[in-house]
Amino acid sequence: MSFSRETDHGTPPVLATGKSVTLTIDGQSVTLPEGTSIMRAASLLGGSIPKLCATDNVESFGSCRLCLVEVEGRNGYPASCTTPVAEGMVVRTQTDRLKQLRRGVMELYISDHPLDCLTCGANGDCELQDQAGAVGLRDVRYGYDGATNMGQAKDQSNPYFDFDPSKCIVCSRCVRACEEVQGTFALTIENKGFESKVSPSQGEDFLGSECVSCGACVQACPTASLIEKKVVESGTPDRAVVTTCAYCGVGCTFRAEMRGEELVRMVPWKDGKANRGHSCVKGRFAWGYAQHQDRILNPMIRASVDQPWREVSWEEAIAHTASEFRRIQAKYGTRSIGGITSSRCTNEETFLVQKLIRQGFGNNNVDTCARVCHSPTGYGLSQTFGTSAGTQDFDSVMQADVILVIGANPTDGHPVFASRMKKRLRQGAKLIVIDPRRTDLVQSPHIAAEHHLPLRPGTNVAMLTAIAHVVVTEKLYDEAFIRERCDWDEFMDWAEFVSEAARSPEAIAPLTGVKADDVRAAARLYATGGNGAIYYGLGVTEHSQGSSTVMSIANLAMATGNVGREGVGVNPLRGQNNVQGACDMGSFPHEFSGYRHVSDDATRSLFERTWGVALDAEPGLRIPNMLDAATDGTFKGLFVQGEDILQSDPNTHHVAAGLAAMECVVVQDLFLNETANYAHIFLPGSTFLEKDGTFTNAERRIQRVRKVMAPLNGYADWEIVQLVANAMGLAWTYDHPSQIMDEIAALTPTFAGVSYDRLEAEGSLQWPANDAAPDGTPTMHRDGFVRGKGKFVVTDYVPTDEKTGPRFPLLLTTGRILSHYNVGAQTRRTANTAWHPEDRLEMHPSDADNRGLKDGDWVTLRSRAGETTLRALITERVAPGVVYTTFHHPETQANVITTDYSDWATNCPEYKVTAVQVMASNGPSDWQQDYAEQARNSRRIAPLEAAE
Amino acid sequence: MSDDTHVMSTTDRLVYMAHQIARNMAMMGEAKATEALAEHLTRFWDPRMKAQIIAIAQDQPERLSPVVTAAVARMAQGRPAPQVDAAQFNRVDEAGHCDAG
Repeated sequence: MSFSRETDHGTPPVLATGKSVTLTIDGQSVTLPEGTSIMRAASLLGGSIPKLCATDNVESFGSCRLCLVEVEGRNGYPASCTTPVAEGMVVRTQTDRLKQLRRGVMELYISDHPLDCLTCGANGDCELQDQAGAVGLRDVRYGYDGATNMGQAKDQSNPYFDFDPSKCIVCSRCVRACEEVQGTFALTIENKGFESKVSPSQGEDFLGSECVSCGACVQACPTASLIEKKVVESGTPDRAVVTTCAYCGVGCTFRAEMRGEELVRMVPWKDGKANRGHSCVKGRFAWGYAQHQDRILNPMIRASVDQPWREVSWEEAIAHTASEFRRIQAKYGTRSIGGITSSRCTNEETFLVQKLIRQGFGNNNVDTCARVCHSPTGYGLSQTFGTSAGTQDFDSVMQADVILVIGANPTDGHPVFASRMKKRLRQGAKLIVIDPRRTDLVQSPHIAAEHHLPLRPGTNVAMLTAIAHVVVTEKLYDEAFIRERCDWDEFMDWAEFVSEAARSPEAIAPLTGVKADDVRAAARLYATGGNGAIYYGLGVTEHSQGSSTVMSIANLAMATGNVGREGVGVNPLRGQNNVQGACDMGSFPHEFSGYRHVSDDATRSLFERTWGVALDAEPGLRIPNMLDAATDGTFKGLFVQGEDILQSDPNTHHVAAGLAAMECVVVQDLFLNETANYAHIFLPGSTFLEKDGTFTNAERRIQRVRKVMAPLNGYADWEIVQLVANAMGLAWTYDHPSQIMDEIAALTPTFAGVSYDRLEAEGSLQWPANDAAPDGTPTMHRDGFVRGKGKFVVTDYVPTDEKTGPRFPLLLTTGRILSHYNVGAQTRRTANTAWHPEDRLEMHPSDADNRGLKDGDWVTLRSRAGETTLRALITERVAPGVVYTTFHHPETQANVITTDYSDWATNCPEYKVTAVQVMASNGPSDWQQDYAEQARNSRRIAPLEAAE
Repeated sequence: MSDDTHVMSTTDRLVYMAHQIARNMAMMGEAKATEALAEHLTRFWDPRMKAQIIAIAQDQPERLSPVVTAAVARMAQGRPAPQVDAAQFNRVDEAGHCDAG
């Protein structure tokens, strides 16, 4: 794709009412949906009415008066952006009178705008410049000195963009984008007339305001008033490639705007069906890690982890990898090695890693990071609905009447989807939040939850059962839906169970700490408020009853008939960009791609015929069991692609002991991450900018990842896996990831209709995409559940074994923050550290007072598993008795604290419940200091010997 | 897990896991729970984990509840074959010479 701006139709499309009108614009007849603006109608006809304050990401405003038109039979010159089309209307957009008026308007703008176009960062990419040309501006009768706005100080506080008030034309596009698109309301216009000025918050700078740096204002700005620093530094782009973000599971698509091989900026793609033209601070700006000096670009090996690394050729590294794995298998057996696929890599790459393990290693010892996040979603939704995926697309939220968010913090974890959700809430949908913390959704500008149920961590199942109790005992369930779509006898068993008095809101209040009346009111609202949609995150899954909680949610949705149409459903908010895809691709040790068990003879035969090898019918090891087996001496080699289990997995001591017990750990990554401290072979990885492939987001949407620059390390990750496979005796001959997708489609019924050609044509596809659903499936279970009848599963509340007591009286729960992504390997290597330079421990003022702690104090956080130190953040966001921290920084290593307790069905760790004590500290613990020293030593790279 | 210990041995963990699954299936009643637990262990546990829990059932039966004992016995009826070495495995269908790419 060469460079051109995306077409801006000036005003957004209208919601379809089914009615249309026919009108004439400049002699051309056109029929359009009722409510469409004249400006948009003209644009869709291929015309272009001059505009400044209008852009199709926000509602029309009618401020700049540049878009005036003439309408036959009407007086005056209406603004085309605010005037809807009407039947029989005759519009003229180009007349002498209109030209005169527009030039007059433009004269006023230019009289108060610097004319430094040749040295301006937006030169050639400035709408004001373009429109001055479009209206034929040749002179400005009022002079060029302006009244007040020239020479104002720039606000350069934001690390990614500058604000130059001198270049602002007060069109309010930025203010409206912040309100309508992002929903933060951080910007305003202060003062009046010539004194008017865009202002973050109350006269603060951008960094110090509540601005979340999503970039919507920069994208909306028609001048250089808000402009990316990188554009100022590098110049405007000369080509653009559409690709998919590699951060969270929303899967935003962007135009990677390039100047040669240099990435100038990432601009959210308006046609992207997941993000609809919006972005967050990570995807929009935090891509600098791709060129960070810490990236390792050469393969390295070492005999033991106390030695420095030695750079070697790719040939030597690959041969050594294959040789070591074969040596270990010869000595310890076929099942003595395994691997971990990456949810940050593409579908094609994860498919190849699991294929390498099943076909090449000859076992099923493959697992993925979903083990520690959404594996309970896979189990729970498979049991109840029949497949491991969310039921809706993101657009569905715009038809929800009641939104129930449980164990999720979308404004931080899934910010672009959260903006859509907030938009719907501002339109009037009701909100229920079930979360121990008072997240931003509970109370933010123009949004207030009807009910916030701040339950005690670890009591999700009790809470959801109590809600079900109300639904059943007050006969709020949808009997017709249940009789038609579910197993009625199983429903009756479940209904009898939840109806028992012991499961009433009143009975469980002492467990959850939530008033019974609040629970009853929330239950009534969800069951009777219209379309009820449930969104959940890791606050549901990362518990000892994660799978039970997922099934409880599914039970509730089925009981109220909230499955199988738009506006409802059960929606897991996936963490990593391709965690859905990694699961789909057969990354779990018990199943092939498409969630088919390895013991299924027909499925296994299909793979055996295609791959030409007998496959193991026994499930392999999960990650924590790999580590157990390693310490037992039966698991000796591990291939880890794009994961950092030492930092992200629970009980760091356990992970370290397992890794240390292995004879060959191979890490394929961008950086020498924490896991690499225990590695013997390092294979440098490539970024999402450097390869082709696909990601699948949380709504099952398969989208293309496109290579925009050559891999700095020399190979895309799929090529590296192929090199390892072939060195191990396989004979893979993939030339392009599209061939891998063709193999996936041939082996996976839900992907049967997916190919790169289809993706190019459609933009994206939501699986299942096959003969039964050629265009994909935005809404699942529409005519029936995948498993046939929906299954109600009785989910009894079983308290966690992680107990508070005198030594550990507080409950720790962990999570993430907007500016960082998981272990922070990428975002810590960007300017996002401006917002979150360290992990902090949130603590309620009463708990802090009891310990004599003040905000900012260093504290020791101790559990039965270990201890660390970090600084305290005193806040009422957490309830008394609960503390909270993030896990983005290896200096803190929050997972030194978390325990080995895990979900009963999937072993997903219980990150959200750890009994802890907090006390004053003088600084980093002995363990932290020792670990820092070990990490420094482990990252030594021996200098290359001088050439002779 | 007591306040003084924070690292389980593998066998302790397997015993714990089996009982944790059983507790979450207890509402089914003993017969169904036994069946469901046996199926769960069969479908999700690696052969060495299965072998270890079978060995515990034989050598230290007092560590397992009646439901877990019955489920392990049922699972053991379909006990997997021991692993073969890698070279032997790959000779099964000559993976080294396939052209699956």
